[in-house]
Amino acid sequence: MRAGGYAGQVLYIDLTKEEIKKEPLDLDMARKFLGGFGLNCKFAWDLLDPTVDPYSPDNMIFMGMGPMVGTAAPASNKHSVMSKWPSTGTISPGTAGGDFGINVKLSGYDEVIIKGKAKKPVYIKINGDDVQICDASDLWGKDTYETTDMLWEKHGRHYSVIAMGTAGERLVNTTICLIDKCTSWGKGGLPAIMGSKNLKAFVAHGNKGIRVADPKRLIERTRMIQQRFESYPDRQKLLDLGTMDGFVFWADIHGMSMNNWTSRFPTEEAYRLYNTDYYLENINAGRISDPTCPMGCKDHVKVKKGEYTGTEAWVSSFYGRVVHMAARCQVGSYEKNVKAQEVFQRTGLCIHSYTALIDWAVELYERGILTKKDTGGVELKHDFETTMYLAEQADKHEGLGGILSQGYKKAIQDIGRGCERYAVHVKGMEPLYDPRINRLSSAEFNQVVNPRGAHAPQGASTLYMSKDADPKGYRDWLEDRGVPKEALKRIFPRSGYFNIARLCSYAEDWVAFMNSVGMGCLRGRVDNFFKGEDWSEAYSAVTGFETSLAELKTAIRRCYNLYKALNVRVGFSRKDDVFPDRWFEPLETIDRGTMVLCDYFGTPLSREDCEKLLDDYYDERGWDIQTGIPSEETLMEIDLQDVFRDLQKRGFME
Amino acid sequence: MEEKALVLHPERCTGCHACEMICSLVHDSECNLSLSRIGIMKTNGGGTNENIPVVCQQCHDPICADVCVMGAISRDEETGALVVNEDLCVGCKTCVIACPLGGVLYHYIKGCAMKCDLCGGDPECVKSCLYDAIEFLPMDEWGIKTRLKGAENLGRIFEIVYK
Repeated sequence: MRAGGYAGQVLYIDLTKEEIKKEPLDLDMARKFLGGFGLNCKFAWDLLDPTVDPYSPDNMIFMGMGPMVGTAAPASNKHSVMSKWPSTGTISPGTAGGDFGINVKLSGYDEVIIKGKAKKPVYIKINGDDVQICDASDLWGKDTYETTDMLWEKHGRHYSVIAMGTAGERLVNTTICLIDKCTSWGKGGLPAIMGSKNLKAFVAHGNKGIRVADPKRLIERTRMIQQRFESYPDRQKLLDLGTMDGFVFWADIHGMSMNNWTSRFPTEEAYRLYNTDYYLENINAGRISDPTCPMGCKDHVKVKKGEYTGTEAWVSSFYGRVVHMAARCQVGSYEKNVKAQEVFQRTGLCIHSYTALIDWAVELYERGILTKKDTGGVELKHDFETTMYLAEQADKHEGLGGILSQGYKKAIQDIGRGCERYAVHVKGMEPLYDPRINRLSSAEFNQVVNPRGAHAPQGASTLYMSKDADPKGYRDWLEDRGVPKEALKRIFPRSGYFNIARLCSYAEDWVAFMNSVGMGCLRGRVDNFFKGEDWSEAYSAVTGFETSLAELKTAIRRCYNLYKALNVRVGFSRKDDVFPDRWFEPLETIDRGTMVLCDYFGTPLSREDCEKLLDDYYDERGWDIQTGIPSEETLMEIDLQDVFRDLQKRGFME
Repeated sequence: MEEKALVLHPERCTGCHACEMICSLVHDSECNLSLSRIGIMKTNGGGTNENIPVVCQQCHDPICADVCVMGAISRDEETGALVVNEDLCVGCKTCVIACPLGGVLYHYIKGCAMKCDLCGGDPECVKSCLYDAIEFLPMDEWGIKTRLKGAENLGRIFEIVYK
């Protein structure tokens, strides 16, 4: 029987040898590691040397499209990329929606693996059986918009394009790629890795069709899920606002720290500059949806008045980008905010990462650690001009901006002078959420333990709940997603308390699971409409492999442990899961008084308390508490004997 | 038979492909944008106002049926849909060339003309479009809706003029 869902082939591209190989996908392996993120981990474990230099031709790019990607199931679009990132040195995933994944699947491939280095600039074209390494000399030097337009001009708009900007060509690693000008992919330096391989872009279009084992069952389940979305009373409001529906959480309930994690962006200021009425009237120009997503939330934005009239951008998670430009860079107006975003999108600079580095640099300048000698004679401030100046330097990979654009790890070494004290990062990546404002919820805690670095979305964001919400929501969610009773007892040991660290591991698994099968979305606005059984039903209907939720959960535990093991092999362990110092300093706000790090119920937490939580997290995961490394027992239980033996051989296990 | 058609609203289409995925699944038991009877043609970044849904409009005087020398395209009296008789169709593609709306395509696996058959009177794409960018409406109702839209626009103009 030909399986449904899985396209059935793995595509290997060696840019050095100019060689393209297609091999059948091992379906037993696919069932064990699901697809997408999970299969990426497996291929990376088997093929990637953990000590590889991220810029070496031997570093690889793994693109995984799970079995649900490109089917009619709701929100079945998540594709995952894995590589050894230059900014952090971790081997970790990046996830995107967009049309690229479905077109690779429709071309017949579940996985695309790239290695080597082309002699001259190239791009990769995937069109069913026709896969080519094409000349990209005319694309080199073009930004993401130009590159995408030129490739559409050449191949047609029905192709989906992944383009890197100009910064990636110069190996700037606080960068992202854009899919069809909009969806960002590969935070941590995918463009820089592509740059090191002389690989400018990908284009894909496929027409092979994805077989569904039981169409009737899939359609039934699809209608059931769609019905839940349709009957939601506030649906239109969510569609109108896109991710800006989060505005009120940012402005009122939670908030965003500013001045390099020393104060909070004032509520009044947020309403004055970035209120949703202004957004709807003057900024939003359209709504974009990922494939089959019932709650499309991406933005087409266009400035309608003032100096930057006509400035245009297509942005995923627009709200997050607005917040970063607003709080970290304090650009001062909605129009400037969009203008800065457009420049970042064109060059390929990552708005999440690079705004944090700008924020840090301004503090270093104010403290006299950086001087005009470092900045090229320019005074650094939290404003639009500084942001644009440092962005331009980053794009060109020169001056102070060039140093910052290599991420915290490298920049700390290059700047020296004790700058590390003011750098808020985990494993070289900036956190997104400030637990002093939001309290230590699962998303905040995940930033510390995430093998990728302090990257919020990978973990726990589906459980993102307001601190004023009833914690019962957590329990309901966990029960629905099939978390065993014994685990629930450990997470909720007594009434009025729950252990966020123990809970976090299940939330992480869930996000990893969605990114593996390729269905669902970490955003609450999508995930809240799904039930646990939807996934086992849809997976079984599509693939024809009758699989229970419990079996799927075992598979994802396997994937997540392999992900951890990949990074253990690089040299990461508990010593790298460090809560940033600044989180233990009080946060002074002008409108909320002093805020300190608290748990979900408002009890202040010391570093010792947080270390205890780390113990609990490793314990719940079945990892060694001293080292944070998966234990022999855990690895054996999930059928990763070979992983255990490898770690043991390399001296990571007793 | 009451005349009904698929009414498209490009300004609401977010480009999610849900209609295409369900269409190909229902008709060909696989998900395939290229075998969908409805197509979302994107421009630029693919947001609302940048996407154009394309599907057979079940013409009152169908060109595709006129040009078919085999008489393979005829109207289903029950649903009002123009349907392809795959036994009669020889795959000459004349209908594909003739349709000015891109409403007929060539089924490259079956080797015959392929077009929207309104799913026997209950179009699946309409049910799958959660953005209301495709409606299935009787023509008189569409007429009223079109007038209402016109009235809204005129109302806005009058408001500007008399302010």
